[in-house]
Amino acid sequence: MIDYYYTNKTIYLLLGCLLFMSSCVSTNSNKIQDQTLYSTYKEYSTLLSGKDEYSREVAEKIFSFLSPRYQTEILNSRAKTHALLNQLVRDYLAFPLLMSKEITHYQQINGSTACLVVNGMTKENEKIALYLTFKKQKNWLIDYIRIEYLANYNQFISEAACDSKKIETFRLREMMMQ
Amino acid sequence: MQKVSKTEVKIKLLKFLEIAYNTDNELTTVLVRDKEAFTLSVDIHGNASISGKAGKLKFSVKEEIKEYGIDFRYISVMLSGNKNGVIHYRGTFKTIVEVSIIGFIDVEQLILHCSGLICFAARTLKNRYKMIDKTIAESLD
Repeated sequence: MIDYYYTNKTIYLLLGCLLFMSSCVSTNSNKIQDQTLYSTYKEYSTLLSGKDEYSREVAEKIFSFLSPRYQTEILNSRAKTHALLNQLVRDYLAFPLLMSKEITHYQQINGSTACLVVNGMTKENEKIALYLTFKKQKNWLIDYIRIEYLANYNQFISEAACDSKKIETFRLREMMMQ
Repeated sequence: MQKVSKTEVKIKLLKFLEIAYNTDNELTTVLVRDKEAFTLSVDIHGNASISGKAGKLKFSVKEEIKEYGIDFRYISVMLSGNKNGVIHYRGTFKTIVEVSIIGFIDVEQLILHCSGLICFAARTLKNRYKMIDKTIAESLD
């Protein structure tokens, strides 16, 4: 009986250690991969800053950050004129400008899909979270953009999740742990 | 202003509630004051509805979504039901990007806005929304 107790205890301890070690590895690899997605996001943001109107060259460059699938969805059979590109960037794709202060960011890569979460504040001091789904082509390209305006700080998630159900699951879990 | 800014989306949401109120003020008031949850949704064609335990109201917001053109997809808002004069909501406004807002509505302020000066202004002024946007946005957080 005592042997059985200690054997079980040892197994749980070993499992605990393995879980801890695997989480360390995952965090570390995330940090390395993080630079790719986050730097892509920063490069995209830099193109937008300080502008109200976008030249054809800049608008095209911004579109080149989007996956072919997403570009097709956005254009919706419309001709890619400079006027349209400029309007789409100004109205929707300049979303990084909504965030005036970044707080944290998280990312996760799963094969050819990845997710980057950027938490921060707007100019009006409102809580905002950006969830960017990426697809791997030659480079990582943005495939879906989700923006959330939150009511409280505890609604920020501290994990990478871009799917709305996953975001809600993480949010609930983190709120329960607080 | 970007069409994905919080103010822009909040104002749209309130405009829809206001149109619902103007279509059927009795049912809208019951739904808004009810403790039960209710939903507001708009499809790609601008057909809108609010529905809850008290009933379902259909109305059109074609004019209000015109500015989005073919970029508009849908709107879906879950409202928690009135608790102590406050309704919590989670709304998703889907255009070519998805914008969600988690917030609350002060019911008394909303009712006041829709039965007082704001609604009067809304009915009498042709270019109504520009003038009331700032005031009406204050009842949403």
